[in-house]
Amino acid sequence: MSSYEGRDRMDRSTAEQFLHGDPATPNAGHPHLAALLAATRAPAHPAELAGESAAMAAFSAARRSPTPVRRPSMIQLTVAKLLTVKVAAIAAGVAFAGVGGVALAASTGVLPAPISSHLPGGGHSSSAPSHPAPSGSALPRPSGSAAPSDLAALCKEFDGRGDKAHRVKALDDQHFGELVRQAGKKDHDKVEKFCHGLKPSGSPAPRPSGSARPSGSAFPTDHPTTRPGDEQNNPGDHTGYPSGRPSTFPSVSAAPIPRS
Amino acid sequence: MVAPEDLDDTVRLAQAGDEEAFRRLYRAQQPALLRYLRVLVGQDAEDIASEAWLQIARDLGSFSGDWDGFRGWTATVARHRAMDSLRAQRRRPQFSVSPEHFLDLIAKEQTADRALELVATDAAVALVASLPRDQAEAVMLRAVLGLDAQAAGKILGKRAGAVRTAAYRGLRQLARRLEAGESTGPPGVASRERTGSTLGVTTSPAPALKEVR
Repeated sequence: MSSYEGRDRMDRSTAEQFLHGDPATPNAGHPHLAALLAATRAPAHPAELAGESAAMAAFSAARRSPTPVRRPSMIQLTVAKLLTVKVAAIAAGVAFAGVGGVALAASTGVLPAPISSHLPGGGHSSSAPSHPAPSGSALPRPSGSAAPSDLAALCKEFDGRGDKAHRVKALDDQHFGELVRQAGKKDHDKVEKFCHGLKPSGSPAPRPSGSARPSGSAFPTDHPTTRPGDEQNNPGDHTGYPSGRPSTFPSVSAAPIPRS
Repeated sequence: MVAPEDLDDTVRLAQAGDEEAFRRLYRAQQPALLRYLRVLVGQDAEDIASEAWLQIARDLGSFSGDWDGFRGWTATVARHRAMDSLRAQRRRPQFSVSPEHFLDLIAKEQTADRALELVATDAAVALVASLPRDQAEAVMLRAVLGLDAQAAGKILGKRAGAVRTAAYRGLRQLARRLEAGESTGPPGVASRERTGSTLGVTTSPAPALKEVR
């Protein structure tokens, strides 16, 4: 029965060959073991793929409502962004024939630098949802809970309303409703105190979403520091959601990404 | 089980949202994943695999790596789900096919014709599952999921050397059972049958156990 002994004694290199499924030594003196491993490595049986449609549905669902962890949608967002830039370029080209479309688009407030540089904290965008808030237009938010940066923007605006009499009057303005709500009372001193307490933590710089200035319009701005081409080449370098989105076309970029 | 073609690009496409790419990944990986899960949780494997794919679909974007990495990552996801399930259930995994079935196929010399049938696969996996779990996992991760010792060790929380040893011991024990036609259960009918088998008298359980060490 030395043959049995011989079969039983498997050395480590033989074991490694079996584990690799090395075709050069299909049996290596252990035909049954070879048969066993072949059975465990058999091609897919249809029954084993019964969950395919469920997995595909999960994949589609994940694409529709990405979780904050997910990043690949950056690519889709970049594509959408570039499409938007093209739309802007075409529209601008129609309006101002003869001017380079992309160059014009690059100067129409499409570009990210002014917005992103005012966001408080560099890490802010990484924890933010990968889809932009739908209200990211230049209009002030009528209601709803405001982010600290919005409040800071309101504060700054409030501060800039001339003397106290003007500021007191401004409190009646619905525009400052959220600020009043957050301060707790429609009282000038109270709001001012609230704003004062807000300053150390939040950036005093206004975010376009909370600002009533016409910065979101299609007028050229003076800081086109990032070009569309940069966006295209380094989509992965942008840690956050697309602050470079043109605020002039909120409906395009805030809509779910169309998929082909 | 390991798809021969280069699936690195497929992983990238799927991450970019390509449905067909994700389908290819599923078809390439699901059978191996399911068989590995079978070793861990028995006939609950389909449910656990479904849960795992939900998570894989959801978190694919945060994964970074190629096809090799994808195989390791999906095995990790599946294993976590299986461990959660085992903790919650507190019962031994149930199998729809007994490991002895594969021994029967061997005895009837049917493995060659039937190796590609699902029942043979299930029985083979059940036989692997009858090993101590560390050995069974090491064999499945390396032989079926196609991971190297290091990648398998990462999943199991072991050094590569420990995984190699576990897989080696597992294979030796499987070979012994298969060549001996020996079942995992207590010596009964099977051992009486063995006395008359061509393998002779050296197949009694006690010396076999001794040789394992």
